[in-house]
Amino acid sequence: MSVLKPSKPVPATEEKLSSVAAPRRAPWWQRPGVIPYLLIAPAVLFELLVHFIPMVAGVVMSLYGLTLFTLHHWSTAPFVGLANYKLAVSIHGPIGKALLDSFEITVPYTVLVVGLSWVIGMVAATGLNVEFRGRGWLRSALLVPYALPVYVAIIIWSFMLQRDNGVVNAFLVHDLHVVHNPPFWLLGSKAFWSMVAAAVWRWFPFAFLILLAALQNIPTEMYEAAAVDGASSWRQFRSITLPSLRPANLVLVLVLFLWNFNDFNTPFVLFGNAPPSPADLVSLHIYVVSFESWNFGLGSAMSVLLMLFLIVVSAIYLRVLRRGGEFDV
Amino acid sequence: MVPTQVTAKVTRRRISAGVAVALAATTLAACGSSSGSGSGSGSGSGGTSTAASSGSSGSLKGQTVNYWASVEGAGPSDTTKTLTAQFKKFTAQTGVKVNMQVIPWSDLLQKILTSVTSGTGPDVMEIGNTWAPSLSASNGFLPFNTANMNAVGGASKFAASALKVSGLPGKPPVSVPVYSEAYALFYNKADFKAAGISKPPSTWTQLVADGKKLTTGGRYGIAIEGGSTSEAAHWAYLLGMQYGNPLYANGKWDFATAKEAKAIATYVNMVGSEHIANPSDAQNDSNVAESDFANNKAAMLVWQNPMSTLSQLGMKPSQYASAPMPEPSPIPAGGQPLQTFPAGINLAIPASTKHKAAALALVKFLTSKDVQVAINHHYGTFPPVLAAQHTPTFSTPVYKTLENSYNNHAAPLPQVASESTMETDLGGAITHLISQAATGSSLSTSQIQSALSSAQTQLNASSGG
Repeated sequence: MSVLKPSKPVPATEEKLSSVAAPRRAPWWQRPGVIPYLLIAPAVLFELLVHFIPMVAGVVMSLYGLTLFTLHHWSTAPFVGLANYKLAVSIHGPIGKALLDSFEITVPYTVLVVGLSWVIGMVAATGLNVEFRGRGWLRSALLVPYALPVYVAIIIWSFMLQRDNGVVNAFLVHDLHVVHNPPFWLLGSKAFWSMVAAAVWRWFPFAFLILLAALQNIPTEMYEAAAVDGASSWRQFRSITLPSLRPANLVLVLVLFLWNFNDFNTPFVLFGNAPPSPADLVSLHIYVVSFESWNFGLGSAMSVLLMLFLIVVSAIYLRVLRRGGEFDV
Repeated sequence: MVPTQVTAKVTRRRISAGVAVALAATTLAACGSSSGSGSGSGSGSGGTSTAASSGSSGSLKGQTVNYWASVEGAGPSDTTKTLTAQFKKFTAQTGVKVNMQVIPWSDLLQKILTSVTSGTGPDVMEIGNTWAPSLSASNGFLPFNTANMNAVGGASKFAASALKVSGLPGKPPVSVPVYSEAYALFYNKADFKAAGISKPPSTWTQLVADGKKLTTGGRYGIAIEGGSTSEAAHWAYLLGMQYGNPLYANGKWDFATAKEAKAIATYVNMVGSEHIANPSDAQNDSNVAESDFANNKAAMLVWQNPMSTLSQLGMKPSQYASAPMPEPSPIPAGGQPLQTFPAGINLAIPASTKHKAAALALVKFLTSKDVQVAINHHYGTFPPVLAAQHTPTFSTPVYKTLENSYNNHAAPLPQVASESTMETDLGGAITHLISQAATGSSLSTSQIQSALSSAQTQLNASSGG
């Protein structure tokens, strides 16, 4: 092993030769370790601008008493610390109690909409995954509710569910004669079910689309082998289809859960800013606190709580389901 | 030692799950920050001083003023047509162009809030006059102090009752009245004659009795806007004043009383126990009540200046008549024979305007005598400008009823910053009561009081009242 002696000067000719022989270093922005980050930098920047900064602004706002009185000079809003959060979670107080009530409506709403959308989407995808004449047309037709602008789709339901002039009551009262006194679909407890129906109608095509795409990736040989082994259709569905759809289902259910827990459009278009109590979903509730009660600090605190809840639920969901098998999201 | 492949897989899984959670968070951000992005993104008062200095000097010619109009008359296109005709005259007189946007009522308050926060809005806007105290508290509007008031023609040109609802008491107004309205009872003359009713009801008991006579053959005695929170809040105020329970007392909202419950029962029971209004009225929230009255699906209507809309809906002025809003008989202790509050539309100038002088000129123009007569006559409102009130156009019996109620039997809604919140909370409680009544629930006075109590607790908690 030789050791260079630092005291020994390198001859000038030798130094020149070594600098010529060594490969020239690429500029820093062309190095392999840097290029990928540079390529995604614009996307990261816009992601920060569009999502992260407003989110941080919302969190900051929740710590201030931003109300009507400080709206114009919002920078002078008093810092109230966690006071808005205390109000929001004090379930014995009127504000916390109302938020909790809204939360307790949103949970079953989300479960029902996600569950029903998935079941209908699954049935439709399975049925339309086999060859038959007109399959393409039927597939397109099923996507119409999802392709419609959300406001249009829900306004259609609003018209259909009107008590005096709605097509639903016309059908039940005048055509089928199953009821004499036309029911209210947008008032009282039925408002909840009307909202669920409208949301399922809008979301099941999305589930159908995702599941159909996933179904088409399952090799037909697996079904043929199972049939040779004498497996029934139900057994094939349970043992081949469902496990194969697991990665798609995982994402589908998560996304449907997040979108529906946050659903603002459906109750707002159906009921406006004063929904019946059974249809007071949490997003609309927060909107009313913010924009109708002019209390943006409190509204932001509620939004942050909602965000934390959904992050926690999403993390638990992914963690629990990850144990059951391998997947990529 | 962990094989490299497995480590990579685990890492990928963690990253994948992390990305999913981050996605969840950012998906939420749209909701979580919806209020935030709207209210926290602008600069506040920076433009005010600049606006004042730049706007008040030099010629107005060549400037463009942005104007937000509320929907009046027969709808957005009618509003556009009516105001555009006047703005052309204004442009000819001053050289100032007016860029108008008609905003639906459902969006107007939210757009105003956003513009106040961001400091980027129109130069002149129409506001519901009941919002004036709340908007005044926001400090986002140009105060009509002596100089600014003189620039639009002086305070003396306006009816005093109209100018009372233009801001917060004790502070300079932040708006001036442009169209005035009042509540009154409107009734179908032919229906009354056919039912043998010789004169309009002057008490609520008479109204219910007449309503029952008129409820026949698919027609109801009265049409109400049962799904509208603001209508409900207005009824709560007017009935509460008649029954001796002002909604606001001693610095806080105070309506969870037996008196107020009894007062509100008068309104709720029209759909409920009295059956003089169509249960479907519980869903009405877009002037359906006016349409039902015009199409003779109901014989009575308690409304603010519906004349223009009724004409558009095909009902001739000769087919209906008006009377003051009924009262309880006898009026309970502490009650007042109140018939309306000074309702209407005001003009406000955001503090952020960069065209202050042009904006003031436009306000002056819109509150000038001839323009007031033309627009108010077309809309079926009446002018808050005294010179315009004293013209033959506004001397018909219907206008006289409305003006008499407005000038002699009116008191403004509580002029506190949380008034608009009251309309949401109290109005929401009452619309829920109406929906319960419509779906068959029998409501006792104590049940109504309990609902009022919840609304009051929530309102006082959110407004710090």
